[in-house]
Amino acid sequence: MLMKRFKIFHLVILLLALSGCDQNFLDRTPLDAVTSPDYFKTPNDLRAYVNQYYSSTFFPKYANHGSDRGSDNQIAQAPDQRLEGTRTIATSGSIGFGNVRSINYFFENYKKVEQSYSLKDYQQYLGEAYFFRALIYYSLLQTYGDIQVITKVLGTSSPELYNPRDARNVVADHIISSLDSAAIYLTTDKTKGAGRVNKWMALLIQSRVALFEGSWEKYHANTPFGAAGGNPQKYFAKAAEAALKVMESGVYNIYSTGKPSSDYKDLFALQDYSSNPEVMFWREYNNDLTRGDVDFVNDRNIRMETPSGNTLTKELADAYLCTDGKAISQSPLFMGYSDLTKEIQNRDPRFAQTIAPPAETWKIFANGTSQTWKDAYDRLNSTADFNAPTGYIIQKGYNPNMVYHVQQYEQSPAIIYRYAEVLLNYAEAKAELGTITQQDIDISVKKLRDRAGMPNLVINGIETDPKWDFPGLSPLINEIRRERRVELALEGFRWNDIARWAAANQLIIGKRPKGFKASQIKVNPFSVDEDGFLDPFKNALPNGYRFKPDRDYLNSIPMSEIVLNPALTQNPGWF
Amino acid sequence: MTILLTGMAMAHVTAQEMLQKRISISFEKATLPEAILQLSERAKVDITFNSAILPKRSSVSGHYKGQTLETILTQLLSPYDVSFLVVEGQVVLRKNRKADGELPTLPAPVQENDLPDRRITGRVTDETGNGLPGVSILVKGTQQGMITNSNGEFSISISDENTMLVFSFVGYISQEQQVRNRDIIHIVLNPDNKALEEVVVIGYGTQKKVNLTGSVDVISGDKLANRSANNVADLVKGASPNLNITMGMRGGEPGATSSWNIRGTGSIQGSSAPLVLVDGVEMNINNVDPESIASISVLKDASASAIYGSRAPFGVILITTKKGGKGEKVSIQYSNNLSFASPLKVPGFIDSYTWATAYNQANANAGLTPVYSNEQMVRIKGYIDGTFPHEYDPENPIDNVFAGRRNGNANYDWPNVLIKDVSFSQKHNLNVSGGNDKTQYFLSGGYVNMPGMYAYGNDSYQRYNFLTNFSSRINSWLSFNSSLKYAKGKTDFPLGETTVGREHFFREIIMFAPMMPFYNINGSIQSPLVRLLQSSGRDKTEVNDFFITLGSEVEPVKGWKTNFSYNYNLIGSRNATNPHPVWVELGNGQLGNIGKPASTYTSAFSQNAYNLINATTSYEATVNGHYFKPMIGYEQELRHFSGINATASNLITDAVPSINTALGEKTVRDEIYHWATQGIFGRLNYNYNEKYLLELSARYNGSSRFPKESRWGFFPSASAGYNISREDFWAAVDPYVNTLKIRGSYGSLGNQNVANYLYLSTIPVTNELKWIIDKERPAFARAPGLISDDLTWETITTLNVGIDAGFLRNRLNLVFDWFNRISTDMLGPTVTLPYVLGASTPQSNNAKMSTNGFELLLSWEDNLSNNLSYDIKLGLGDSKSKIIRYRNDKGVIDTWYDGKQLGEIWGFESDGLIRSAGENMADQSKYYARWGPGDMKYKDLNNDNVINDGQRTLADHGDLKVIGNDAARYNLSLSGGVRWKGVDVSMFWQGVARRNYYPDLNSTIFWGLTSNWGSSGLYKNSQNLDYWRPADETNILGPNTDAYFARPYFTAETNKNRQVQSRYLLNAAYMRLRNLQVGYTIPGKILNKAGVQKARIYFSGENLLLLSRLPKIFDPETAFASDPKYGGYLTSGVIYPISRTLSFGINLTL
Repeated sequence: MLMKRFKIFHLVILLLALSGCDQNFLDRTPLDAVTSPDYFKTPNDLRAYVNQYYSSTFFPKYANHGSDRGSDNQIAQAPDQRLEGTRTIATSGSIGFGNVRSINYFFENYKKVEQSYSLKDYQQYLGEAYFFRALIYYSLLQTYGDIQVITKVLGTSSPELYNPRDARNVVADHIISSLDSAAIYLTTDKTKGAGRVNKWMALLIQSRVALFEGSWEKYHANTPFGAAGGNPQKYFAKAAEAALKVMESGVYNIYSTGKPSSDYKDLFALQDYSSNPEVMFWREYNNDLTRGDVDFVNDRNIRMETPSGNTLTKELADAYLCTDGKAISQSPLFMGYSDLTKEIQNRDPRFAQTIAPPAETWKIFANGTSQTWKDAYDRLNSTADFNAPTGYIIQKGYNPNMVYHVQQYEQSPAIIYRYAEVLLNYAEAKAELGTITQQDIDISVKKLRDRAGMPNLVINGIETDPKWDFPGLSPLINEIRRERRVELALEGFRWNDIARWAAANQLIIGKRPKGFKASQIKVNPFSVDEDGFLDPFKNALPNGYRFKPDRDYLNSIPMSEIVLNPALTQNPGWF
Repeated sequence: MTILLTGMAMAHVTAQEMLQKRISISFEKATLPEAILQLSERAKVDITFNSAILPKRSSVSGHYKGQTLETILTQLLSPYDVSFLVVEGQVVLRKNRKADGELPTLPAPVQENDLPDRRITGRVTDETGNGLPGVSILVKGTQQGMITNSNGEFSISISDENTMLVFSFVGYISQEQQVRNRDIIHIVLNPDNKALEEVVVIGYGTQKKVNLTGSVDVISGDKLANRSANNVADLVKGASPNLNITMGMRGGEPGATSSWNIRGTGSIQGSSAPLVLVDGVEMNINNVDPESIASISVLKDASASAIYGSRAPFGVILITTKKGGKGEKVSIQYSNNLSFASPLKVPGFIDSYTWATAYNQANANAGLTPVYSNEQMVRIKGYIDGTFPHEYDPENPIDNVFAGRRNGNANYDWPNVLIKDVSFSQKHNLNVSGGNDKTQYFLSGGYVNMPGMYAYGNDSYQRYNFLTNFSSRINSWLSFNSSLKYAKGKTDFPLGETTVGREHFFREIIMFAPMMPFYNINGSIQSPLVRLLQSSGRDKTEVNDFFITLGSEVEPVKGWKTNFSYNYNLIGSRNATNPHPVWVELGNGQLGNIGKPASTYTSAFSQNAYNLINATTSYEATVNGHYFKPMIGYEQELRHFSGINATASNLITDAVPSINTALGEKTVRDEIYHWATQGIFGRLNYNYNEKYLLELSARYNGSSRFPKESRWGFFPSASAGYNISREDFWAAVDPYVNTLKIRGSYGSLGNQNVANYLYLSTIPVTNELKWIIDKERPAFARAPGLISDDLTWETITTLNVGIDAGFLRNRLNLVFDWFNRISTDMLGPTVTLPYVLGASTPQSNNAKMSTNGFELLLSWEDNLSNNLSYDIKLGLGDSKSKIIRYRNDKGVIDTWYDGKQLGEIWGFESDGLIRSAGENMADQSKYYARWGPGDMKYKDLNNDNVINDGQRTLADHGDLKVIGNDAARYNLSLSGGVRWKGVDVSMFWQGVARRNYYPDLNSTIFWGLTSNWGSSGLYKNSQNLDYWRPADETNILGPNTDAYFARPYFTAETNKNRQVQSRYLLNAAYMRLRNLQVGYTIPGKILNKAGVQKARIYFSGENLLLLSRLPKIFDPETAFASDPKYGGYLTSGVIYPISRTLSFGINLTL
């Protein structure tokens, strides 16, 4: 009896012991993720890896009301902190090097694909990796200036962690050479512009970076921001060369339908850029694919129905020439400031296509009826939506057709790169090199002027404008910079231009953004200056912007990082 | 549970005759109670006993031929320390040794001649009205007395009315009664739940409480019964000192989960949550029906939980469900609870005119134009005064779905419009239990229905619970048991803002201004929030938690028990959301959509399967007072989760939401993971005469979460105890100190509560890039994170010292524990490395922290005359944690550093507001260029005439100092009750005695005016408007130069005044009346006629009172739960509110 019990008992113990003896019971590897050694085996792996960089981080779009807040082109309701000089040193936090590590990881691993594939199978993705490596470092260069150039995946004990910063021209060279490589590998197809990046975009960015670095080195020379052993000419030459390659490729052209009074405006309000000759890269929005994802909508039109506190400055308005090609200070055609309708008369047509003229269409309803911007101007400042500190309502980027005004999930596409910038980079680089000819102008600036119906810029015929922003620079540089400001207004270039030109002394410090004549609006809660122009920051900035030219061109390095790396130095002026 | 059993008898004979009766009888594997009953029947003698004194699992075999009753009884009972005596024609069995070891004195018969002829009669009953036989009645101060008969009746002669009678009975609380002028005395004895014979559930077994050496607290099921709380967390909160239960990010939402810890934070990276086991198996506590719980053991120290090894580094909560009893007749219990809940601390808006005035001032301070124009101010004023009839300007109607908050002129208290005043919940439970010697069963079914607080688009939580516990003895050495548990939980919420989730709802209701119109002039609803609640689609979740245990016990040799069990838990979850367009009619007659562009449907299924196999074998023996119980066991567990989530867009109709009925894009993703552990464990219990106690246990444990080389860990523990009060010399102290035990334990455990696969480098691949490339959203991959391949266990070592003591006839009880817990090899980032690393540094086992604290439980329980009994219990727990080692070479104060106390808040010392321009003050320009009257002045603590925070390191922290600590300290609970006849009243308080709270910079309800108007709000019962205004202020708010808040600015400038500082450090200590209850038990006589054994009705209130020093608008619990620093989401200060509940319930036993 007892023995029988023991037998049963032992049998059970044995069974249990057997089940527990599975040697691999504790080996539990991931079931829904691949481990690193299994990746980078096929071109598809490479493609998926570089896909991560297609994001708003690397491709800021043309936003509602534009992107020139924080410059002298545009203001929001409160003064910009950088311009105001009130930014404070970052005490904690870090500097985003995650993408540097991420792209280096690609370069350390992509060669695994060579086991089974040839270069042509994956060169596009390799080219994209170079392209994004450039964008990653360009963003760091703009924000911090000189920064460590890291080209390998660091570990926790890598000595490179304690590297000092590399000089800014080293950073710039790293970017430019990355783009040289990108241009070699990337497709030369124009593509429909909303696909993968191509060679011409790489060259556009190369001209942009080279122009940025060249002018920074030139205009910040002999300041704490200057590059030791800088060589601006080298970069200007590179900028011109890269731009010229795009221009000579013939792939792109300026968008024009022969309607100077609307082509420029229309360009930003089209619903499709697939076959647009000018738009090199754009972002598509499609609700079927995005399903209302909040990070992923472009409801520009409905947001631009009202100014909502975002308006253009008088400084930008005054930059537009008159139709005779002369500045308003010189041209007899200028009609004065008394009201906006007059102010835009006889002016560069891009003016009236950037701001909203009262007589133009504001809204076209589904039933065919419409309203003009006059109705909006009549209600200016009546509510928060109509808040307009400087009066000039923005319409660049706006489509009055109400069909396209859809809260939260409008599908208007957004321009990211356009060919006009290539032309402007080219002209400026050539001008800075001092080798510019009328022919250079004719293949660049003239194309933009032609679309707008403006007379060409004639190098030898520039009339002195006593109000030039940069009286110390040549008339041609002044006019090319004006052209850039006007053509690219609100597209997010202006602050970088001011920074690389070291132009805060001329454009920002001690200045206050002004608006149009206050007398033309019914309700005005804003201050007005002695000449009757809107002066919205009169109280906030009694002495104008207090931008610190020995500090504010760059961001501070977070203090905690200085502590972590003894070799790391702070940016000028921050303490 | 005690049951009184009395055998049948025929005639009255003398005691001696009775015991000398000769009987022949045989027993075959009977239990002792069975044997006694058979004997009683055979001998025709009443034998009365309390079943509690006889071992239930006893097995009696034997043949008696013509033996005297005395001989048979002696043989049967002697092994069990039970004796017998004859009283009034019956044999009464008695435990020789009282619970506390004292030998009972037998009352000597009263000498009739000594006494005057005063005779008292009476009856002693239990709390249900049944007569208690065998109760000893002693005349106090003498050795004289008697024992009640089989009906509980007695009759005794006394000398005078001052005579004090002492009624005592094993398992019941003794009572003293003065006779006075009464002739008839009726006594109700209450069961003594704390009797030290109490058996406590511990890891893989049970143990007599008297023999415990670890720190184990038991919460009995009765303490949890009859509350309107619908989940275990709400019930147990505060029930055991240092068992801390805090609200999660969903706040008081129906069905929301809470987070638990025992003895505070134990690990800075992984979880510090205790292991929650239901009948020995891990289970989601949210799915446990409180009504089915028999008891909860809280194992706090290492020795108690060491047997669980790596699974339970921070304590164990053992929940035991109810089982059927042997020899219990079928009992049916029904209980219900009907409750009305009203939300607490819903922030109410101030009137729109004052609101607008303050906003405009904050804009003006920043040099900006008014938020609300003059024209709008006139409308707002007119609407309040009744002169402007519309909620917005009909000339310029609202033409944008969210513009109403800016351009309207209504005056709504939105939070109170959108949150209900009261909601009605109910729960019902039906239990059936019973059993005989062979088979016992317990069946339970429960239902909870808890609607939420949204005033539109109802939200709700429902739960169904089913449980069966079944056990059966096949023969004398083999028994089987099984348990089936099933819970279905259902939540149903409005989606709220379809694009961002319902968390945003509470942010919006407190920020969308009172001006926002509710209705259009034509009567349709314009409020986007109302519309979102009404028709944004639903978020429905259904969780099915199915659980099965099959177990067997083999006892081939008496004392050698082997248990096998197989447990399987399958949690199936289904979530469906159907966001779609939400059309709002605008003031201009157009329709705006605040929902999704097109209907989409998302369906998520997951299956979470858990397998647990364990086997333990133990041998128990007592030899000459030496008790041994060695036990060894094996256990392995495996969890496998798989989930799939599909989304489809463009539904043909919202009436039929499914993947099939969608025309648009479809995407699918999945998640799969698994982990496993294996362990061998053992324990040795030893004691000598229950006086000297020793316990050793250990576990060798392996986890799949660590690399092969460092996968296994060994975790031993030892503990010892000394029952001093069992020593002979104790007799002298015994009248005052009845029991005293000291105990100590030391042991270590592992912590495997880290993420899976941390040691493996994986490439994260994600579906659907947020970018369209060539008309599609492709998948994308990212770089793997840095990994640490030498990851291993965190080791948690605990030293625990405790005392258990009972005073004054065990009416006063004290339990005190002191502990020191050290977490070594704790996971922490190796080091904060320079940014060029470009990745989060991997975790490695190199940090160390210590937590120490204590628990104190003090209780008093007494029965007074006249059926009045009362009890009061105070619990106090405390823990504080300190980092001992952490790699932070520079001593950066924003992360951990050696010596950092958990909860430290670094900040400036505030020096009040600047009173006049040009006032003498240190240079504060680091925080803003301009400073003027009404701005904050900080103290220059390091006297360098510059206010700054240095390098934010320990060596250089400028003018910062530690201004407070936000760790919860001194967790208090206080409970008490009074029972008189059928009436019972009880209350329960819980609180935290010391804690600081520093409001987040985004805490709208604290600051009111934040750095921009869009995320500000102004509320009643708050300090929001107490901000600085100049002496010549002319707006309706008037001057306020002696303000609490500095001058507000609707720009980032406002932050210069809001650096973390002493001025806004709040005291978050609180005490809350969690429960107050009044019940009435209907007397047995009335009920018995109706066939009901027991009936109780009660009224109960939850969260009735709050004592708190926080500003009135804050609830101390939601304040922390909503704060992003503590895992809150988005909006500090406000989440789903908790409720005050009034309820009514009934318990019936048939």
